[in-house]
Amino acid sequence: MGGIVTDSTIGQATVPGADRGLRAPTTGRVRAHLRFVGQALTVNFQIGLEYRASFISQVLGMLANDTMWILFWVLYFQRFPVLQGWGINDVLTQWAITAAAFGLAVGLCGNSNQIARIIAGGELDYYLALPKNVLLHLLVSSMNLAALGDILFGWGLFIAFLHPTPERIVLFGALAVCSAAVMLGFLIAVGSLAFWLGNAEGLTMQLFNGIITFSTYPSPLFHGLVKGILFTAVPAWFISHQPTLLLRAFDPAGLLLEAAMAVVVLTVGIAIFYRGLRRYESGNLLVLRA
Amino acid sequence: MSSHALRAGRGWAGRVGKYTAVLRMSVANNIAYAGETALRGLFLVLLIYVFVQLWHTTYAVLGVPTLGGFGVAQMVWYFAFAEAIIMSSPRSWGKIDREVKSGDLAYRLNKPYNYLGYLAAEDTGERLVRFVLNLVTGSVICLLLVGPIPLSPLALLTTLPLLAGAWALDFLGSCLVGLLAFWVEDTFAFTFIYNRLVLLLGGTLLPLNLFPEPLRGVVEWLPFSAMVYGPARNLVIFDPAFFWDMCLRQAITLAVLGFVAGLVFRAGTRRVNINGG
Repeated sequence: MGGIVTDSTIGQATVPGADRGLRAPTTGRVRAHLRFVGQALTVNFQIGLEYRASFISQVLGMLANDTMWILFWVLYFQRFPVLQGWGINDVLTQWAITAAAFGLAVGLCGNSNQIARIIAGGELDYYLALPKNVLLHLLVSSMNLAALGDILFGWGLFIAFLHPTPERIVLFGALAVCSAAVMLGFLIAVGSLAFWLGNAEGLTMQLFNGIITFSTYPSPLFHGLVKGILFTAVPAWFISHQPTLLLRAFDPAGLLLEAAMAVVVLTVGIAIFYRGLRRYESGNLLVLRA
Repeated sequence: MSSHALRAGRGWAGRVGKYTAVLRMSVANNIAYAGETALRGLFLVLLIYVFVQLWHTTYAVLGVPTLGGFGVAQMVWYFAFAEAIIMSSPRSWGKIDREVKSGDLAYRLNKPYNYLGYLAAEDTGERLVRFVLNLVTGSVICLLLVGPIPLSPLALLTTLPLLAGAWALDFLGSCLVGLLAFWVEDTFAFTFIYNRLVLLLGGTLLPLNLFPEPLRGVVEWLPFSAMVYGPARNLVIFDPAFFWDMCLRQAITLAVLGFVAGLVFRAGTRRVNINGG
């Protein structure tokens, strides 16, 4: 379930000089894009609310899903109290951050894990024909309502169990945004494999499951080559493990590293998408969007 | 043999033959897309790897050779078998949900077969193909990571009927969730909750005999224990008393769930409005 943005009424940038065909100032364009994103999210949310029972059902379903996983770890740590320095609080922190990040990256950018399907199905034509940033439009033209339950769960878990002082709340928010950026960059990169591989839906789904799995199991379980992969090709370390360490014991250098990796991964993902877009050919698919 | 008996035999054979044909078609369909199922096996490889790390670490920290009767290798094989059962589930709830919402159900209801019987045959065919592929993948990974475990012929033989019972129970559970589509706008929340209950309370992530008391006493009586824990534990730690106990639990649960599913289906189909055109 998701939203469809009707571009006839929203997102039309009105920046100084546009009517004279001059290139708009950067700040004006950034403001226009932010306005577009805000309006797209609002419309998607309103569309979701039209089917209220379904919306509530999806959010509750996701809350129940996340709660079951926490129950498993509570049971595990009741039997086996310490896992190489990690306790139940660390796992709760990991889950809170991952859920909040997932909700931002996949919930608000509902098409972030659908990129491969959209490319392979020739549905990119719609976005290419419109005067909006293609990737941005693609990402926010749909909202994953169930993932909004993850945002509620992540923040709820943090506030209820993880000592939410004002400083920690700000830190948690910042880390959730950084983690979301890493997740989003990764999803854009793997989804863009479809430009080269064609039908990459199955592969991207496995990579998506992989990064979620690596993000939600304690870091002491991973060593050697696998740990190296978590720092690089599948950057799950920067989605949950690094933020967990920072919430355990704040370190400014660690925060800087996390922010830097968020920028790097997102930039690489965007670069891969636009590189792949040069190879894209229209499939002349007729799509009715109403 | 009298002609009446022959006619009765043909009638019986014909009725069963319908569903056998659906089962064969479902197997053939899923073999055609075996590549996609095999790709999903990559996720199973990852899960087994993560749980090997988890249990190796746990046993090492505790400094014990066994936990709840499971050695490390047995624990990993248990998990692989349990996950093969979970990941082979075709999610019949989704089919029922879609057919109720789209109205395709109306076409099914006037066909000369029982709708739930048809779904059961289709479900079994898909489940069979997926399970075999998942089992092969899981077995290869377990052999590479933890080596073989001793499996008695009796354990293998007795696990088969428990597996069939587990599949039937999961099918009925999925059906009940899907049949809620007759009353609710969206069954998403119920399916998510059901799947997670089977995962956690079915003993996939943690064998039920490792649950702390008094929770252990409660979950062992829930139907989910017969869907995953029963066949998986019977395979890796065979115990005749456990086998017969699980057979009894499955039989009782099947009878109750089957009766309830039939009632719910009848109540739901009374709500079907068919618009001509």
